[in-house]
Amino acid sequence: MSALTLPRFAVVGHPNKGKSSIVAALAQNDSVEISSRSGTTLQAAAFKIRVDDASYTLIDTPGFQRPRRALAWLNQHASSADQRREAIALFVSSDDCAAQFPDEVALLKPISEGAAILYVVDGSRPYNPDYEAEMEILRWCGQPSMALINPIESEAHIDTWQQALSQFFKVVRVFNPMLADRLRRDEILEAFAVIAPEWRTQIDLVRANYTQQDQTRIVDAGKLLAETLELLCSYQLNQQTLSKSQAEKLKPVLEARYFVEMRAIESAAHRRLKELFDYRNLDSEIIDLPIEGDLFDTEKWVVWGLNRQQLALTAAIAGAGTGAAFDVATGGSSLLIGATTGALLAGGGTWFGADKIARSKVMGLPLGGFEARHGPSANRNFPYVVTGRFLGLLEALQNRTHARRDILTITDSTLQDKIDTLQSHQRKALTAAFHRLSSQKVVDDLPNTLRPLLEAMSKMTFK
Amino acid sequence: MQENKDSLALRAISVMIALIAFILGLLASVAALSGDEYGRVNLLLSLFLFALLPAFGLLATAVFLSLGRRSGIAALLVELRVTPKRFAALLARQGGAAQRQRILFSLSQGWLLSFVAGNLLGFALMLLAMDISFVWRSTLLEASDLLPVLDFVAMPWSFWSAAQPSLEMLSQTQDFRLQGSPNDANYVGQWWRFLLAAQLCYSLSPRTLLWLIGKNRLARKTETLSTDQNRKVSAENPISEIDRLAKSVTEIPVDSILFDLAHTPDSLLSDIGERLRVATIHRTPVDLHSQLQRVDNANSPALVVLVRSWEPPLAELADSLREELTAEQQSNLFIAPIDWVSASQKNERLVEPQVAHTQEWRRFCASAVDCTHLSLDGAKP
Repeated sequence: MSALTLPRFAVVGHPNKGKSSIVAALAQNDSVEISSRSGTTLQAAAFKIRVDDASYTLIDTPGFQRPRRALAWLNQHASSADQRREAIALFVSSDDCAAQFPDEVALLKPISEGAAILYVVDGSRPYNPDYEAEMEILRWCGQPSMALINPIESEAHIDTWQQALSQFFKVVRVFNPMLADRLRRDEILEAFAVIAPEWRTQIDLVRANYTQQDQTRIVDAGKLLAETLELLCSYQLNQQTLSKSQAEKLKPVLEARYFVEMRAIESAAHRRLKELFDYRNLDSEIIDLPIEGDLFDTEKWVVWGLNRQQLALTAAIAGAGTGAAFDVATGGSSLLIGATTGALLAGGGTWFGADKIARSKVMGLPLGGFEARHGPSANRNFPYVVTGRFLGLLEALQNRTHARRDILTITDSTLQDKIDTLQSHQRKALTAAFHRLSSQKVVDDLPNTLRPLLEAMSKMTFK
Repeated sequence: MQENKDSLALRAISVMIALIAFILGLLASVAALSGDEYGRVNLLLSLFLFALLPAFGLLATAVFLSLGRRSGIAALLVELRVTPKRFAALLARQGGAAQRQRILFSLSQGWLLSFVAGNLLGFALMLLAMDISFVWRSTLLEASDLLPVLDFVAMPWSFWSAAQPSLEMLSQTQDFRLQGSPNDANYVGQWWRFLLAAQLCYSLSPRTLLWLIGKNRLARKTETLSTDQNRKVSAENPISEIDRLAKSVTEIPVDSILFDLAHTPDSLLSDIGERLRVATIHRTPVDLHSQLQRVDNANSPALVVLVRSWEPPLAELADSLREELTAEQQSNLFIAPIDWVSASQKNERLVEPQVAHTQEWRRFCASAVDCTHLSLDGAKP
C-alpha cells in the first residue's frame, strides 16, 4: 500500500487547543512536544503510527494565526465554489503566501496533499465566531473532516460548540486527550473510518491490532514481572573475608548496598514496563521498596571459595580418579575398588578435616575464611509486595494517556481484590509459586502463573 | 557489576561440574572396558554405554526441544538440588525463565560434551594400554538376532566399511564361559572401530553441535538484552523559557478608546467602560483594521483592546496593530485580557485570568507590539 493511500489525518485548529495532546494520546507517543504556551508547534510534524502490519499517520500542525486574512486571500482567488480547491492548492504552493501566512500554509499543505481533517476546539470555553474564518477555510479544502471538542477545563460549552461545528463538519466528537482510555481512542478510530470510508479497511485493521497489542502487552508484562520477582527474591550480596569478625563488620556496608541494588532492580523493571507501554519520558515516584528482617549471615568458606560440601565432593572425585589409575594398572581385576576407596578416603578426609584446611596457610596465605552475605529476602510476603507495586504501575499506565506530562505517583495495587477474582486453581498456583519464590526455588512457569492475575487486573481496569 | 560477578561465579561452578563430568566419563569408559582377568570386555555393555545411552540422551533432548523446554533433564537436576545450591541460586538470578533456560541448555550441553570427551579419552587410554577382547554373551540372543540391530546402529557411518558389523564378527566373538576363550583373536579386537564410530556419531558430533548452537543462541540473546538495556531515550531539550514580559498596569488615562475583541457580554462591557472611564467603545469589530484607521492620530488617545484571556494571541492581531498604529500610539496601547463566569446570561462577573494566560498575553505585548498589559479585576502582574 503506498504512503498516499494510507490513512492520514491532519490535526488542525486554533493555537493551544490541545492539538498536540490529541496527537500524543492517539499516537500513544509521549515524546510529542506539548506546551502550555501557544505557538510551540511551528511546522507540521507527521507521526506514523504502526500497529503490527497496519498503520496510519497523524499530522500535528501549527495553529491558525491569520485566518481572516488567509480567507480574504482565498476569496480573491476563487469567485465560485468550483475554484476553491484550486485556490487552496495555489495558496499552499505560493511563495508569497508562505512568507505572509507561514502557519496557514504549513497546516493546509498536508490537507491539500490528501490528509483528512481533525479540527480541534476547546469545549470548556464559549463558542466564538472568530473561529468561523478558519472553519470556512477548512471547508474549502473539500477533504473528509471531523471536529473534536476537547474539554480542556470543563464540559460547560460542549453543546453550543456541537451546534456550531455540526454546520461545518460531518462528524463531531468529544475527546479529552487527558482522560482518553483505549475505548475512547477506539471510538475516535471508528469515527475516522466513518468520515473516510476508503480507509476503513486499514483503520479496522489498526483497531484489531490495537486489541491484539493490549493482550500482547499483558503477556509481556507478565514475563517482566516474573523476571523481576525471580531476580528480587533471589538477590544476594556476598563478600569473602579472612575472619568472622571482618565478615560481621561488613554488615552495614552490604545492607546499604543490598537495599540500593534491590531498589535499582525494581526501578529498572518499572522503567521497562513503562517502555512496554510506550512511555519513554515518564517520570514516576514510589515509596521505597520495604525490605524487612535481618538478612545478614556469615558462612565459613574453605578453599578457593568452595564450602565444606563442595570441597569434599571435589576431593572425592579426585580420589576416585587416582584410585581408577590403580584399577587400570591391575587390568580391571580390582573391580573398581581403587576408585571407590579413593573417593571415600579423599571425600571423607576432606569433610572431617575441612576446618583444619581452612586454618592452614600456604606460603603465609590462609586457605580458608568467611563469607559475609546479605539476602535473599525470605519474607513470604515479599513476592506479594513486589507484585502489588508492579501491578500498581501497570494499572496506572493503563489508565493514563500519553498526553499527560505530570509525574506519576505509583501506589500499591489492591492485590487481594485481583487475587479474589481468580479461579481456585489459579489462586493455588499463584500461592505456591510465591511460596517457592520466597524459598529461593525456581518457578519455571511463573509468567503463565502470573498471567491470570494480570488479565484479571486488566479486566477490572477497563470494566 | 553484580551481574558480571554472578556470571563469573556461574561459569566457575559450571567449569567445576564439567570437570566432574569429564572424570565421570573417563571412569565410565575405564570401568566398561576393564574386562575380566583375560581382558574380555562385554560388548553389549560397551554398546549400551557408547551407543544406546547417547542415542537415548539425544532422543530425550529432541523431545524436550520439541516441547519447548530447552532446559530438560538439567532443569530437573537443578530442581532436585543435585547441582550445588549456589548454582541454583545463581541460575535463578540470570534474567527470566527463557534466558535461564537458554543458559541451562548451553551449560548442560557443555557438561555432556565433557562427559563424552572423558569417555573418549578413557576409551583411547584403554585401547592403548590394554589388550581388549570384545566378546558378547547372551542366553537368549543369537548373532543373527543382533546383526540387524547393529547394522541399523551403524547406518550413519556406512561409508566406513572397517567399522561395520558382520555376522562373521558376531559369530566369532560370541563367548561361552564354559568353553574358556575359543574366540578368534582376529575379530575380538576389531569391535573398537565400531564403538569409536558410535561415540563419534551419537555422542561427540551431535553434542558438539548442540553445544555450539546453545552457546551461539545465548551469546546473541545476551547481546540483544544488553543493547536493549543500554538504549537510551534521548529527551528533547525543553524550550527556552527566557521570556520578555510587558509592563503590567491596573490604571490607564481617562478618555481612552476601547476596542472589544472579546465579544464581552453587554453588562460586563459597560461596567468595564465605566470603570476605565473610556470615551468610546467599539464593540466586537469584525474588521479591526478599518476600526483602527478611524482613530484620530492627532489627539493620540490611549487605546485599550479587550481580548479573551484564554484565547492565545494571534499573529493577525499583531499585524493589524503594527500596520495601523504609529510607534507613539503603540506606546499608548493597552491590551486587557479578561475572563468571566456567568451564573446566568445577565449575571456575568469578571474573574482573574489564569496566570499562564496572562503570561502569554504579556509576552505578546512585549514581543509583538511593544505595548502595555492592562490588568482588570485585580489581576496580578
